[in-house]
Amino acid sequence: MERSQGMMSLDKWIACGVAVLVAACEPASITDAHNQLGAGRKDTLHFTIPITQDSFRIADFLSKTDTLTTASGVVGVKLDAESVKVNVGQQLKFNNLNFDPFSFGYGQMLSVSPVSTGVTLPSPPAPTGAPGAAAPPIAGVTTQPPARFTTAQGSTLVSATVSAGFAVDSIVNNTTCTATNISLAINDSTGAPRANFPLIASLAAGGGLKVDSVTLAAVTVSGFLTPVANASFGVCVPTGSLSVNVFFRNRPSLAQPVAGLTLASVTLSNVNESFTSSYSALASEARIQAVDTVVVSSGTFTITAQNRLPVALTDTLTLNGIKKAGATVVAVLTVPAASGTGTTTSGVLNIDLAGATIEPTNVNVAVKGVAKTAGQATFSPTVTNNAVLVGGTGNLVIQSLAGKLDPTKTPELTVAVQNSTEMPSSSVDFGDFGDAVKDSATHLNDATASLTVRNTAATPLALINFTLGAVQLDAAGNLKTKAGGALDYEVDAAGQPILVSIVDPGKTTLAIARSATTSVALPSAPLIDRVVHLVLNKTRVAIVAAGNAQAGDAAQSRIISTDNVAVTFALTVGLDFNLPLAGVAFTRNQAQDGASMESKDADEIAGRIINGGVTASVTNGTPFGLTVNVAFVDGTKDSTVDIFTTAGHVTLDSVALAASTVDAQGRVTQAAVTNASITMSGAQARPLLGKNFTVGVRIRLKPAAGGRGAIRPTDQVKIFVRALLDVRGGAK
Amino acid sequence: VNRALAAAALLLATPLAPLPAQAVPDSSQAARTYSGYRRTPTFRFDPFRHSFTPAWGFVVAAGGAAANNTFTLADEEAARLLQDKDSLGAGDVLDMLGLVPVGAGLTGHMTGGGSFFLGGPLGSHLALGFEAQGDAFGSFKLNDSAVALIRDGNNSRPDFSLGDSHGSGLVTASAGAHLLIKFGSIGSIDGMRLTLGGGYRYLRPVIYGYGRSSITNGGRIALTSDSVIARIGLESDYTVDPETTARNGKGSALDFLVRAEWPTAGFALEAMVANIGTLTVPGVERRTLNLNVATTSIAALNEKKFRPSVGDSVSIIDTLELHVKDTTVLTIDLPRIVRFTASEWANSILQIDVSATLPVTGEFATPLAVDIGTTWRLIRTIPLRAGLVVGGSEGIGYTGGIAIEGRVLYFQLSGQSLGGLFKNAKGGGARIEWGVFF
Repeated sequence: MERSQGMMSLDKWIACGVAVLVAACEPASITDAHNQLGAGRKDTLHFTIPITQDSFRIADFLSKTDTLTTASGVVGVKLDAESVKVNVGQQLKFNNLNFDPFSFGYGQMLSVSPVSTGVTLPSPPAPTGAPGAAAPPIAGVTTQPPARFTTAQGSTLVSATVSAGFAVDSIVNNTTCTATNISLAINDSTGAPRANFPLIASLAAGGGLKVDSVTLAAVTVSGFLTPVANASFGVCVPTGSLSVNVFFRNRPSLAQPVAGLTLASVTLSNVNESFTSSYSALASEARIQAVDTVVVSSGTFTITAQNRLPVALTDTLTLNGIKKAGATVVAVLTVPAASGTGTTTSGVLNIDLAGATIEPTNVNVAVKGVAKTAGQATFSPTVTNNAVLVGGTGNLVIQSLAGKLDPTKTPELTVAVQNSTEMPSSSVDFGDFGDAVKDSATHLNDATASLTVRNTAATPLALINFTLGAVQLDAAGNLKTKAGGALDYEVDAAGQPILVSIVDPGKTTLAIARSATTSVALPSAPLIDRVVHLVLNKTRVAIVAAGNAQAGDAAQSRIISTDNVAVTFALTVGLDFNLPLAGVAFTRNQAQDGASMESKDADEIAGRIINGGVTASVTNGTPFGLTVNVAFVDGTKDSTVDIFTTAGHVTLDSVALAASTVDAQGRVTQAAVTNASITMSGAQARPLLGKNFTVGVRIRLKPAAGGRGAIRPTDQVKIFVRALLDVRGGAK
Repeated sequence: VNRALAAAALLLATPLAPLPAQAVPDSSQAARTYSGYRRTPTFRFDPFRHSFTPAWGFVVAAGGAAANNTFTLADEEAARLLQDKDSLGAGDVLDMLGLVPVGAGLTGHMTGGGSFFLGGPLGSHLALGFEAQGDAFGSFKLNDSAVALIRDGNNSRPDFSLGDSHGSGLVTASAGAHLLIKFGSIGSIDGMRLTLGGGYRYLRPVIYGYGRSSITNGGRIALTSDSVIARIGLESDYTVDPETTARNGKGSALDFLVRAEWPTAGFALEAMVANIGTLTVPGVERRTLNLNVATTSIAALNEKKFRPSVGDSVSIIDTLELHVKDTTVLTIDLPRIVRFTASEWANSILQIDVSATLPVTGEFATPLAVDIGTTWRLIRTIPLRAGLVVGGSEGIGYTGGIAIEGRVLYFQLSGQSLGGLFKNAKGGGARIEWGVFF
């Protein structure tokens, strides 16, 4: 036990030996340790560290990714599409529709048909004188009421002057004696004879008949007419009677048909005359006749009636062919009494047709006029001829039109439309090209408006003289106008409005089939150039679509008020422009992996750099001159950080390139290449040795000879920058 | 290296035991050296080491040697110190790579083992020994082309490769017998004495590991300023369960020796071929890694990409790991040893041995090495040894040792400093042997 305590075990001996060796080998200090490891062969390590190697497509400098290649092969920037909707349907109107004039007379009041009247002469009394002496004449006994005259409508004649007509008598001697010296007169209500029949010298007994007539022309009658007859029988004592009947006819016979007297003037009482007639009020309006159905959004027919009658007139108009809520439109118009001298009074009636459905070809206005007065009124042809004149006009805003819509027959199918939409600044974004494009010296040489025109109507539409233009907006957002109210379009250098006509290729109009969409691409460089400049310079501007829209093609179709034409214009700007002299600068940051050293190691290696250099190879595949600056800084920086101003950044000398060779259209035909080398100190190379570093690349495009450059999708700047570092190793 | 250092420390620290009485030949000066100790021990693999024991007995031995061609003990300590002080920087790494010999790459090798021997002479013409031993072999090489990636920089050459870079290790346990047949003197009493030796060992593998490039010529790595190209294939084979491997693996090795000795002239020549055989190693897990990328930046290696088949997103870097391919049974060739030795002892005091161990190629590579050793028997039973090691990849080495060569007791302690002395050594070795003869 004691021995064991006194002797070291084997592992302890080994540990002791190792400790002795280690103690003998261990450096005295860290510096000695470094020197120990660095005492070997002197090496120079040649490292290449890529600083940046990338291809910068010029198109990538655009903030928008929505690009395309234009027909001319350059990069096209698609501005945000905007739409202008013109409500064609709302513009459809029928203004100043004229009713065909219509008149009717009240001649009926000058035509009276009196009740026939007559008298009977009773059997003559026995002679009272000497036998054989002649008996005195016998007066007739009225056996019928007087003849009173009435119109067909029942107006009562107060007095009248006959212009034409006859009184026809029929005398029958049914006595047993021959009647002689038969006289017959017609007296009016005043008792004055107004007509005298010829004296009948003798009329045979037993049915002798005598018919005569007498004209009543120019006879003025008051009240009624009643016959007054006398006859003699001599000494013969008759039995039976002699009847006298008087008829008032328009001809001197009793032949049928029977018609009354025609009056030159008449004074009637209890007038209640009506007259009914109808006519095609819109027959002369070909523009509406060409449409099968018109549904009215709003509007009225204004009916005007003129009245010559000295009595008030009530006209009831039934507008057949025009319905509201399924019922034919009926309107009543009252026209006051005229003076009776031939002048007229007027009445106006507005018929609200909102919601009405009109079938123009079926429009027939039935007019029922009623002239009515409780008093007396005198009528003459002066007032009864064209006693009533009916006319009218209409202004209709259309809800819908249906039929074989034919703009050649219905000019109203061609409407002027206009609408606008402001070009928002957000839709015009050229990224880093923005400053260059907005420069007044920069002009876009390639721009296209791709229009998508959508027709919601179930009828073909044609846009006529339809243009896109640009009009600045005032502070209130209203389109600026010139004196007189016309839109103040943006103009070109010659002072002419910059307008893009929206037409089909090779045509003067743009046709859109019913309920269809059509597209057309139109070169619009001047307009878009102007709009882009205004927007980029923060001037509010609107794209104005204006022109005429024409509906219909004579085929069956329909258009409603909500139908519209929506013009969506997608503006594409080809990057073909003249750069300003100052050029355009783009800056991009790229995070790069460094030599992946810890900071301490990187510092140490940086201190060992014997030689440092940077080689840059730049290929200019753009139509512009080029200056490239490269800077880098330790660590990963955000893309928004300006590496060129970040503390600790290292800036390398710039590399300049001439512009590439371009063709007549400004497109690159031969890329330019250059190589440059610069020296770099160890301290400058320090950021490259860390875990990562951020490279800032600034590319400035400068105008080439001629100034114009067209950027194709393939145009790019290739930059290959690498650091060559010679690092010392060993030989301390 | 540490093991070798430990052995060396043990050598220096172990107190010497009392020396027993010892018989000394008294014929010629040369013949006065006890024949049983004329065959000088070596640090290298020698299966016949104890077959020449002067009497029946047993010997227990252990030792090993390891070296590299680049780093000295001072270098290693400097690196360790800097590492401990958190001061090991990239510049130090550059400096360390500057230590790697240009064109040679970084190489290293080691052997080691322990054994128990029981045997002795059977008359004057035979000797028989049995031994049980464990042996370890290892080597590695980092091809100069791979080292150059950092040493020369990526601007100095277009591409790099792993070349024949590899690493290997094998631990075996074996048991066997060796027989010596001694002839002579041939022709005269001073004639040559010829010894023919042969042996057989039954081996069991314990640990096996091997890593190498699976692509011919080591693939290609190119880190240019505008591209990163790598076509690399790695394969590693190793036994994951030594117990299972030892239980199920087996192999056999044959050793042959021919030695011609002129005792009275004090001269001997020897040729030995050892470790002829194969070893079947079961339970070897094979892992592979294949990388075939071509990108424009290192950053691209870290970019995660979606894998539809797996449903995850990984980067190339994420996939850089060895994947188990299979578990297999390997049959490997044992590291064959061919050595020629010449010994001269003109008197009983000094013996000079020169041996050349031919290089071994393959999985367990070792370079050509020439050992020049001297044995000083100023005290006949306590020889002192000193020598040089020439060749190898590490440079000149120095050996030294002391022994007790008694009739019933044998003890030896030796050490070597390879590539330089002490702190400048790039390797070392140590060996201890102790035997008792009946």
